[in-house]
Amino acid sequence: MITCLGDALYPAVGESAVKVLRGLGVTLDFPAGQTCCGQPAFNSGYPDEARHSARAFIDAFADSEYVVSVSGSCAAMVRHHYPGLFPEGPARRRAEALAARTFEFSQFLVDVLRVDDLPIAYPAAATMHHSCHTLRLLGVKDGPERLLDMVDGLDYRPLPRAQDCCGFGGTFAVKMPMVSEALVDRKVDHVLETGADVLVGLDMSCLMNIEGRLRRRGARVAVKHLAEILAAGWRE
Amino acid sequence: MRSPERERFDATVARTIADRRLQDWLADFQALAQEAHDDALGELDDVEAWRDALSDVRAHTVAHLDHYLEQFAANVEGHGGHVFLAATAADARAYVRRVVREKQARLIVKGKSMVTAEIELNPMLEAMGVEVVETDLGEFIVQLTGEAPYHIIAPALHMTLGQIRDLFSREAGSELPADADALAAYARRRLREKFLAADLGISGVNFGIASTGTVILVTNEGNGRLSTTLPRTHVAVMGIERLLPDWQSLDCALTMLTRAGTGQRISTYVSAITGPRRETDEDGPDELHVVLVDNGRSRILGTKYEPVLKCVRCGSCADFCPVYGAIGGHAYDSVYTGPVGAVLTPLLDGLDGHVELPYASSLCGACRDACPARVPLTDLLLELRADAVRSGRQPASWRVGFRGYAAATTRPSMWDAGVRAAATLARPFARDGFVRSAPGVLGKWTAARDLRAPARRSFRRRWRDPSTQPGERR
Amino acid sequence: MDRDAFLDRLAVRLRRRRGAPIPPVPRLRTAAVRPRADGDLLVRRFIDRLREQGGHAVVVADRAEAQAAVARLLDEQYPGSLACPPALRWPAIEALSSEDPSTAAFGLSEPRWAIAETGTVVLWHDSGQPRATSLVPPAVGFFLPASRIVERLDDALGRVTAAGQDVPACITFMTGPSRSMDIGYVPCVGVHGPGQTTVWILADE
Repeated sequence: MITCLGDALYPAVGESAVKVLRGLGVTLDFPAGQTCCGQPAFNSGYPDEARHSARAFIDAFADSEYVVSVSGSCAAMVRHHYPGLFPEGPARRRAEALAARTFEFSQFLVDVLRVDDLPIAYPAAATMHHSCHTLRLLGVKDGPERLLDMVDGLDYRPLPRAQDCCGFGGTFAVKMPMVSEALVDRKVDHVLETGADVLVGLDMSCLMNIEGRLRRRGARVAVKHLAEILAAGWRE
Repeated sequence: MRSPERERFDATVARTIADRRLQDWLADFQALAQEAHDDALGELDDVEAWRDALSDVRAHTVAHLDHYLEQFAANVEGHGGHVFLAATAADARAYVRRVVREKQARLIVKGKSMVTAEIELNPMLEAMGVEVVETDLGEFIVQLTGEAPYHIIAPALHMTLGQIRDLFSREAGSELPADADALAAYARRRLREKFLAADLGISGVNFGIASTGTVILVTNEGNGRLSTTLPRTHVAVMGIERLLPDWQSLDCALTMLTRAGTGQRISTYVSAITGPRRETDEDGPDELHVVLVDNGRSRILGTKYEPVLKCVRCGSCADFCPVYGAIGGHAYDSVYTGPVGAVLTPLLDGLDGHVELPYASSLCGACRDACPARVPLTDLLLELRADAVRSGRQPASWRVGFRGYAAATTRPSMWDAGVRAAATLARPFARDGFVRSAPGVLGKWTAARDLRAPARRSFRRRWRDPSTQPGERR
Repeated sequence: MDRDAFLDRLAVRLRRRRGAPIPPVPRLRTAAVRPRADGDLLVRRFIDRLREQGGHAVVVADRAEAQAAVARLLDEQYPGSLACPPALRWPAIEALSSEDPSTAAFGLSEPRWAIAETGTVVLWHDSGQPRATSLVPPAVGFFLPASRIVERLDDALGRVTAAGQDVPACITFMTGPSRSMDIGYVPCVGVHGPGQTTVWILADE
């Protein structure tokens, strides 16, 4: 699952995920019917419109054994909200079936592929933002850190109050801009506190938000998806 | 076109965010409260089982509320108390007015009670010429300043010790030291005479035990005990949903309320009041009146919002909410602040006048994770947003936009064309892949952040092109 | 609106028939086993937990020792009258005893039970156990027979349940001195209720 942001704004993240997954021996396909999981509409109070997108999404992945998402919030949308979008019956069952085979990228590596060793070197000082939906709805806690731990040369600095929301919240960022800005500023303060050169994340919405603010504040911190770190440092 | 309440909300939010001292304090407070919550719950052998227990017993009670309310009322009366079931706030006020008139009460001492603020009881009493004294220290403070309470369990959270010192010094007519114990001692002296002279005490209720008609008060200061022991008449006001079936269920309710809400194993005082004093008791009120308030709660029963009635008013959601931490309590413009306030206020009072509340959330889920009663707050906020849209309370342009977007998501070629168009449109505005100033609604983003421009070639285009496919490996 | 109409309205919304049977009350279900404490461990825990809450507890051999301690305390720290129910009094303090807690310097009560886990005394305010004794004076104390200490809150609640409808008009669960965080989130003690609480645990009772 490349996601709408992944398709339009962060194609390099998808490419990195593809490289890493193939490197781990996974056969990949990109069903072209996928576009957007419907989360933006759903979160803004438009469940009918979201259901429309969800139906197409479920159809697109009908034949996929696993669906690996490069964004935690999108995986969470499918796993947590898709079933409830449909009335009881076949449509809901299809949604539940898709939910059961959908995983966020790091979750797939840790829980499904059971990766315990990676041929990766990436010398840099790095910190990580945990993303609310990934943390709370998917229950992804220390998996990503375990993966980063396998990376040679990575100087990992825990982010203070990593569990705090970055303030994106979808349309919240433009509906409540003052509050969103206050939250992303706190997140940026914490990132800068670590002295890291790289901020790693699991969700492009959060990364887009934090990266945008880091740049506006003139901070020299690179912002990368976990897949980009793993792909860049991959030793053939 | 901003509504008056949105203007008010924005003004309060702007003021709170600009107040550096308050921002730092709210961040510190939340960090302390979260740690206390986590430490106290961490002592429990199986905290998830305890949360299930609280969630289950509260859901069960609410789902059978007619039964438990009937039992509770019968038992209060069986022990000599009076019960009044108030359908509306006006009914509740009218009953209290009758009791106050009948008792010819001139001075009333009040313990902390959110529902009495909800039904706007104090203004009515004051209009009757009765002196009403809030005795909970936090409520006493905001009564003096005339402000609304800032947090479900900490009404004067937003004020510094220095500000309280100044306030009390003005009241005292002399300079008091900037020392918490000394200021508390002033409040104690000042309020002690009121307790001793009061004709009537009004309290809230944390839980009502249906099996014996017992009213449970959870406090730390002693004002709850004093205002329900010394005056001749005690009026206890509670929401109809604040019941528990029996004493055994009080174990998980009390344990979770205090551990989650204040990080305490138990509060300093838990008063269990069953009827007025017995004939052979040396002290206690001669009369007990329990006023059970509906005021919109029954409309929530049997709907998808019913889970919010499980709330035990611990305040954890506000303690964990990053939005609360930025905007503070007054922005909610309601007796009920924080995430549960954002859900409850539109439900009790209608969406009109409160339509911004369900949107004042990034849906991060910290509140849901923190809630000891498993109230699914983020899901309820989403439902409120959908209701706001369905009832035409959101701009039509958003619906048009999402409809168009949904249509594009079901047609990949249309989607692809849209992505290409966006990339083309953005190019002139972008400098090394980022836009610093975007038009329209995106301008709200770029006011504070750079906006990543769409990539030259989308992922699906790269995937389709064999020369840009990452190599296959076995 | 009369009571039946009020309750009928709720039942309709809940899609229930008034008076229909209800399922059993859900209870805590946990596989976790908390090891039980008793005897000295219970006393120790009570003392430690109460101390954490700013109260003071000490074991004495018998009631006479506790009475002597109270007399000393009144003499040294709390000059004035003693609010003390007649059943608790002893000859030496008769002269100081008062029926009026509002002017007393110290209040003495006897809890029905105490809870070790939380450092709580449970006061059963029936005849002879006025509420004000443990509430109005600035300092209060308790004579607690050691055998009345139970381990946890649900043990105490079980005993209350056993009383059925025979509960007094007031039961107070009291844990240490009165506290507040409402002044700038700085802890302060003795806000409205007593600022000093002492428990004498009677080892032989």
